[in-house]
Amino acid sequence: MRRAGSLVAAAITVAAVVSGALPLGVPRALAHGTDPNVVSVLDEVVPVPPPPVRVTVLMGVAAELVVTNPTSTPIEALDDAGRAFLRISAAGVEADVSSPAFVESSAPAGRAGAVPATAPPRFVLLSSAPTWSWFDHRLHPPGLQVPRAAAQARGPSRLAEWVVPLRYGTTALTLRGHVEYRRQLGRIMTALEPTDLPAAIQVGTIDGRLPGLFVRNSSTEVLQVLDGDGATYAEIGPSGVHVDPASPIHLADRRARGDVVTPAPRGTARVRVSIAPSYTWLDPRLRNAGPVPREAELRTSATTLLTWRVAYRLAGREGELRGTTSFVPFALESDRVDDGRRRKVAAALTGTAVLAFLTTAVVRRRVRSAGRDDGARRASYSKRPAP
Amino acid sequence: MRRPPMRAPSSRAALLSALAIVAGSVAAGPAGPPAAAQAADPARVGAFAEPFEEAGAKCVEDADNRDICKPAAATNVVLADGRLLYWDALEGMEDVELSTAAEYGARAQNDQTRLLSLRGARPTWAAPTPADGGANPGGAPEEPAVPGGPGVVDDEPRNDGDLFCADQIQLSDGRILAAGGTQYYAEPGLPGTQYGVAELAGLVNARIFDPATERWTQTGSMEHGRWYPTLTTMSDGTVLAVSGVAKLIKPFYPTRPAESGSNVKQTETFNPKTATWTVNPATANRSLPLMPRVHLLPNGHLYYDAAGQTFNPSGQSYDEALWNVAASYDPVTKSWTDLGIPGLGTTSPGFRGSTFSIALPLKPPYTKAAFLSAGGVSGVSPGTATAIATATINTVDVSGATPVLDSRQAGSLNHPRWYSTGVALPTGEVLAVNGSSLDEVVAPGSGVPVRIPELYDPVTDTWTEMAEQTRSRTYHNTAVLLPDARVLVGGHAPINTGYAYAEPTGEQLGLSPAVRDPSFEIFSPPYLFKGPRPVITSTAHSLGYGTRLRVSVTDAASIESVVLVRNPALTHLVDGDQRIVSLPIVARDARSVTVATPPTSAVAPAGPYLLFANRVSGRGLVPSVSRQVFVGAPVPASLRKVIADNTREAVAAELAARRRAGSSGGGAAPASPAPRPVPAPVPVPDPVVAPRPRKPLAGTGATGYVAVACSLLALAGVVDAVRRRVTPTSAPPGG
Repeated sequence: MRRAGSLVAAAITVAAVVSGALPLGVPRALAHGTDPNVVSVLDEVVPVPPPPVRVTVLMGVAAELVVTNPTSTPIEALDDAGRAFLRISAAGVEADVSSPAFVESSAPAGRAGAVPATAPPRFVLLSSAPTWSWFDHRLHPPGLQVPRAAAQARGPSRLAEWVVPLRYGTTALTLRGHVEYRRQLGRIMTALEPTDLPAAIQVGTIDGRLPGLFVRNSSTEVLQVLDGDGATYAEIGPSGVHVDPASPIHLADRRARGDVVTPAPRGTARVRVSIAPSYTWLDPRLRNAGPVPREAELRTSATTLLTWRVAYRLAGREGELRGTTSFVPFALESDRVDDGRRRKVAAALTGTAVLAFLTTAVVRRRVRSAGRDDGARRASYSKRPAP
Repeated sequence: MRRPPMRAPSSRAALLSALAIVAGSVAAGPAGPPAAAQAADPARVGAFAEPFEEAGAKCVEDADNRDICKPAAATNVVLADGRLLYWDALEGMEDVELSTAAEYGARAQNDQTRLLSLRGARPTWAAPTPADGGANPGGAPEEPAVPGGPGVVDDEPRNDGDLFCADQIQLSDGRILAAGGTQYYAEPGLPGTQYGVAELAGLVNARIFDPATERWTQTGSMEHGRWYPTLTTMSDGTVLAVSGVAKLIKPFYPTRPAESGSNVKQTETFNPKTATWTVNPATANRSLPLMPRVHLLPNGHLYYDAAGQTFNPSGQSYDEALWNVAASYDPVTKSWTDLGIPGLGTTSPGFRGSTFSIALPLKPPYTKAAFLSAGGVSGVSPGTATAIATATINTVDVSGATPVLDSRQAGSLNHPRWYSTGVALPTGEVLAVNGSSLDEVVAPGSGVPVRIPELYDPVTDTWTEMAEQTRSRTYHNTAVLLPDARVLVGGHAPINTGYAYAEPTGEQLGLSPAVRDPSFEIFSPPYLFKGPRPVITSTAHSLGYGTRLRVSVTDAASIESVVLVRNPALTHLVDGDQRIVSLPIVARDARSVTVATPPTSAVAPAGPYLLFANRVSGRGLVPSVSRQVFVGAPVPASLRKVIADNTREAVAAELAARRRAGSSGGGAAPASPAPRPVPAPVPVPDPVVAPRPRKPLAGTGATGYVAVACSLLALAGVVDAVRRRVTPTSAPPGG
């Protein structure tokens, strides 16, 4: 029975890992661990180690601790009993491959019971570089619950605190952090109100993690897009597109694209960024900087989070692009895409719930049957782990 | 350290997502047999032949105790010699025991290639040399996510040069260029074991396949590793590579922080004459989705159709909002121009994921190019995983100095479909085939296969349901136009783990098949049942630009159009060189039509094309069997004989078929002669009920069932969670 339970746990764990990690499909840099709604955050390292030492939390397929220690004094990662399982220093990285903690830290879902806890330490050199990262499962404490209040709270909810002990030489270091819960039930979408611009000027918003604007100006006039201070950010017209490299909008756009940018001083000459009279940029004014209110996530209709304005100047006349940034539930988004499907989705949810119960009963029966009659089992697609 | 138990809220959250996904699939609805199909009039709905596949066991065990399975056609290329070159995806998935994420870095294998010939009474297969393309045999240093490499483990030498996730195109001489691909490893990984987090690195390698020698050889390498790039032939014969990613799961590059968390923005150009790649200047950089839908415009610019591969609802790049904008690339200035947001003002504006983008026929004066996309999923991440049914036609007018985009919604599909392959037919119609109701990268096997192909009629702007296909093909499917105007449908190579250990349970419930499908099936479109087909009795095999071409053909008086179809080279719904060029008829006599050849290499870049003549009938156009021609290039010496032989045999067979049909007509419209005998099917084992030969299993077999059971039990937990939410508990508010 215990084994069956562990199998269940393993299966669910793996399923969770896969659904979150998309083994071949990628949460990648933007992922937040096995559950994309749960994020581990490092708050402090006490006492602060010397500057060359860096400790960070990397959110990949699951939360990882990353330690870089180019000094000759080793940093040791300790398990809950105080036993060192990693040594990181300028000499490289050594691991106690007999340590259950180390073995477990090698997989995002852990590998409980892979080695006995009583095995004597056996350190081996893993890397000659002074850096190592590992899945430290203390970053997502066991038994984590999401209280109703937390689930309904505005913004990220602090779910739990965690502590990971390290040792720098003879000095004990304590990493303290917490786990946040941020459930994603829809997506942020922007909408542009009708403009007074001539038909030759086309404007649209673009949605993504960082939203933006697209402008195509086929008129003979130059359209000046202004930043929040009323200064010109971009000039879009017959001679192409020129931007002010010192504009905060430009800097935000480049950073959002992943560029490493050095701010230019105000007054720097504009630079041409397109030879055509069209341009797209990621504009922070359209971005909802705060958390999505819990009420908005639970609503079945879109919720306006932000009303924004982007000033422009055309032929000496000033105007504004106005729009909204809203949270749109996924179900509503589906309806938006394919009209008339809301009722089908509702019916499908009901049907699926019923199906889940019925199928559970069937599969339970099959499990029992498989246990009784392994030899006569029908074709299988894959190998099975040894019992 | 104790392994943390599952957190109920987390599992509930994940399962809520699963429930929503499954619900979406049900909402999309299984595609049942259409009314038209039930009528079974092949002149209305076409017909599928029986599936066939390479002979032998589905999987055999090699000396290293590894399963070697028959490849599924996740990539398919129609060679100029009439054969097909195809290759697999995700080989080694059958060897995963516990978790794809934890094991596949070690269990993956380089995918195998095959040559398929349909010319005889029965299909035949051959393996190229080397069968896996031969790239990167010794592996290459992996770039760790943090300096020093946090536990990078690469114990498996034969999965470092995978063709999977490369892109390929036909070179002007009929050889095939494949660039990029996959190098597998684990990071972090546990040394000495097969466990670790699988990582897929993009390869810099490029290889060339020569049909004459049946060999792969290595050519110049790219500067940037690319997994899921797109290749497109430009008007000067060079090839532009865009996008791809250097590391799929963890794209952190400590030495190149600006490139972290995004796809490869740099573009590179391959010169076939020098066999070298050149990195283009920064002005040519652009953030694009994986396998972006890119085409050559008739003015020589390239066009990005605001579509590509996404893996909703997770994200790929920080700046992915930019993918919503269609754009053109000028190879002279090496710069991009934003053209607009397709579908702006409609219900489905901007980016579309996992859809095809088919170039509709280019017609004189070749100043407009139109692109049809249909299905897929809407928006960049976090978008929805539910397939949509909407279709869009984006038209680019290149008559001015700068291309101008016009976008409109076309008639919607009858069935929402994710990952459906589009096939441009010589008549101008477009076939949408294969696909699923859901994005199955997110939740493998959760979708309901869509087995009803649909045919788009550009005249009526509507989609019509076709005959039901035999096999369910969702992830990594293909469909290519054959030289005889039929469609070869194949592929399906799914991710394992999401299927709960690749159990057949999901398939038995009507969901996507859990394992790869090496079979093919051939679809004969309705036009093959609408009367006699014209026969091209002779024509030149090499066409210049801006000249005349005489095409000797039966039914010359009723030939309405002559078209060139670029020899297909498709993977992941993408064929960067796909195009149909309509050639204006400038003269006609009783036995031939004379057409104007393409004016420039921007209209038809040099290389192999299938030449079709379409006869007008009372029920629509009826295409001929094609003749293999080369446009803007001579027929390669190595292919001259085989092309001549193929042509001679085909003409004789087609004329004989016409005579037979005519003699048995009895006044009724003679049936369309079969362009070639449908290959006798090789028995295809039913993957659900038929065991395949394999090594004895060590386990009890219950694990997989338990996995399925617990998933469903957890689904029940979801319902419980919903119930709890609906029914207030005794806990005080906020408590």
